[in-house]
Amino acid sequence: MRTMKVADYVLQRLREWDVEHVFAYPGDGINGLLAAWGRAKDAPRFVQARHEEMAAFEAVGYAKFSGRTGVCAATSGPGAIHLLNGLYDAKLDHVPVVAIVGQTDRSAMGGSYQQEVDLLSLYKDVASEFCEMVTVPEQLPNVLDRALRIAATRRTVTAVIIPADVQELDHEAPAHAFKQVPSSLGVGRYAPVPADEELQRAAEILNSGERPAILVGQGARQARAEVEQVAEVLGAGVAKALLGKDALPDTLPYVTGSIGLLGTRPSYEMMRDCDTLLVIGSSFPYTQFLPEFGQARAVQIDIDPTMVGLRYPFELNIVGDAAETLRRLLPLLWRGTGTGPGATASRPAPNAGGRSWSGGPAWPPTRSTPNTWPTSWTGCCRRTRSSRRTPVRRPTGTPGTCGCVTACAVRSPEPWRRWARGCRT
Amino acid sequence: MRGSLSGTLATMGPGVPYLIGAKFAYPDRPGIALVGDGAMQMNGMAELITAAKYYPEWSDPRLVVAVLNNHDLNQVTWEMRAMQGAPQFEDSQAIPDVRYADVAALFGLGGVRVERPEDVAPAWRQALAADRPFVIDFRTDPAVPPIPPHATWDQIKASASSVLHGDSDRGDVVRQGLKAKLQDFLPGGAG
Repeated sequence: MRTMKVADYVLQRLREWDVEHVFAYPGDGINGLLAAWGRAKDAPRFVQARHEEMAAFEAVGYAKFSGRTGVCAATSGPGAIHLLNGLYDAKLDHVPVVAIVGQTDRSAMGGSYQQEVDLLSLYKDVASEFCEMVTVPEQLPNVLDRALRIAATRRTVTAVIIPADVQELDHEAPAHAFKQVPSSLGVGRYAPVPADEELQRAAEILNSGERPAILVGQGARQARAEVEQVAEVLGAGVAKALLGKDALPDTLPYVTGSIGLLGTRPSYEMMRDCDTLLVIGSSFPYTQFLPEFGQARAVQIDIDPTMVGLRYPFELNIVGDAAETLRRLLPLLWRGTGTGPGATASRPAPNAGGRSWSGGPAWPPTRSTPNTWPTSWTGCCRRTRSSRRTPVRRPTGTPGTCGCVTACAVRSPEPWRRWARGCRT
Repeated sequence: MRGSLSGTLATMGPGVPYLIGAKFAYPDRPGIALVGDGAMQMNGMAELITAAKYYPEWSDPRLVVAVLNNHDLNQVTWEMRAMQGAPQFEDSQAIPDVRYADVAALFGLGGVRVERPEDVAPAWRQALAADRPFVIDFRTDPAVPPIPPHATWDQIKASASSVLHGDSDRGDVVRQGLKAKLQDFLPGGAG
C-alpha cells in the first residue's frame, strides 16, 4: 500500500467526517495540501474565494445556513491573519468553524523567517477552545478529530496549524503504545434537558402571569413548533432578536417582530407592559429594551451554561435544548384567558383560581389587536400599536424584509393619502 | 425561508460571502443578500468574481445582491447624529457612487440600476428570473432616519443638535424624519 503524506491524510480524514467543501485560498504555506487536493481529485471541494476573510465568511455562511460545521483553509502569515475577522464572526455567533492553516517549516521557526507569524499566539483567542499545531504525523487524526468535534459540540471556532514540511511527511497512524493518542470519528446526537423540579419552577412562574412575553433568538430556531405551542397556550406575544428573526414568521398574529432600536413598536410596548418574560435561545444584549427591573418574573432557557443568566435579572435560569425543554414544559402550562390571539376559555390552575384577564388593552400588542386603529386625530397622536417593520441593519438573505427595506428607503408615497385611506376603512 | 447576519461581531461585509457559502449548502435554492454600498465596496464587489466563477454549477443559479446605494456609511452617520449630536463628517462618511450593475455586467453577471420607486418591483422580478447572479443597484436616500420605536429624549436632542449644527443633509433629514414618524402611527400599508 502506497504510504500517504500527511496532507493526503488530512483530506482523507475530512472526507471521513463528511466535510464536502473547504473555503480557502492558496499560498505556499499550504502547498502540500494543495498538491494533495490535486491527487484527491478535489475532494473535499476546494472553493476559492478572492480573499481569505471572504473564505472564512463563506465557511460561516455555509455553517449558519446548513447547520453543519464550516471548514476554511489558508496559508501561513498573511493568509492566516486574513481569516481572523470571519472566524471571530463565527465565534461570537456560536457557529462551528474549523480553520486549517499552514505555517513555515519547523526548521525555520524562531528564525524570524519569511511569512513566519506566531500563529499559536495569534489564534489563541479566536480558537480558545482548541488551537493546536501538528509537529509529527502521529498527532493525526487526533488533532483534526478534536478540532472538528469541539467546533461542533461547543459551537465555536477551532484551529489546526500544520507546518509546511510536516504536510510533506509520510503519515504514520498513532500506535497502540505509550504517549500515542488514537482517535475516532463522530459524536452521537445529544440534547441537554433540565431537571424536573426546574421545569416545575418554570411553569409556576409562567402560569402566574397575565401578560406574558417571549423573546426568541437563534437558539429557538430548531424549536419553532414548540415555541408556537407555548405562545399559544400562554397567550403570549413573541419578539425576535436579530439572529432569531427567521425562527418564527412575522405572519403569526402574536409575533411582534424585531426588538430594540431597530425593532417594532409592538415589541417595545410588549416589553414595557408585560408581567412575565420567557427568553429562549437568545443573548440579546440591550437590556434597556427588556422589562424594567422588578416588573416581570423572568425565565431563561439556553443550551449554553456559560451564557445563561446574563443580560437580565432572571428569576430562573434553565440549561437545556430549546425544543426538548419546551416539550417537557408544555404539559405543565395552562391556558390563560384574555382577548389576545391564542387565548381560550380558562381552566383552573392546580392550586389557584383560573387566570382571568382584568380587561384593558388587548394582549399581546400586535397589528391584529382590535384597538390598533386610531379613531381620531387625537388617537393618532397618542401611542398606537402599528406594526410597521423597521429596516434591519446589515441583513443578509432575508427575502421577507426586502420589499420593506427598499420601500422605506426609496421615496414612499405621501403619508397623507395613506392616512386618508385608513380613516375610511 | 432562512435568514442571517453578523449578529454579535456585527462586522461589515459578510453579505455576499455568506450567500456564496449558503449556495454551496443549497445549490438548488435562490438566495438574496441585502448589502450597503459601504460593504459592497469593502467586500462584495470583489467577491462577485467568486459568484461568477461558481454559479454555473449551482442547479439554481439565482444569487441576488441588492445594494442599498446611498453614497454614505449611513449607520455611523446616524449614530453620530443621534448619540453625539454631531453633524455628518463627510471626509469619513461620504463614499463615491459606483455603478454596481455595470460592474456585475463586466463580470458576466446580470445587473440593473433602480432610481425610481416604480422600477423597484420590476427589478426584483428581473433578478429572480435571471439565469445567473444578479446585482440590483438601488439608489436610496441617506436622509431617511432609522427612527426607533421609542426615541429617548437624549436621542431626540442629539439628532436635533446635529441638524442645527449644520449637517449637510439637514433639510432632507427633517422632511424624511417627519414622514417616517407619521408612518409609525398609520395602519400598516403596502410598504
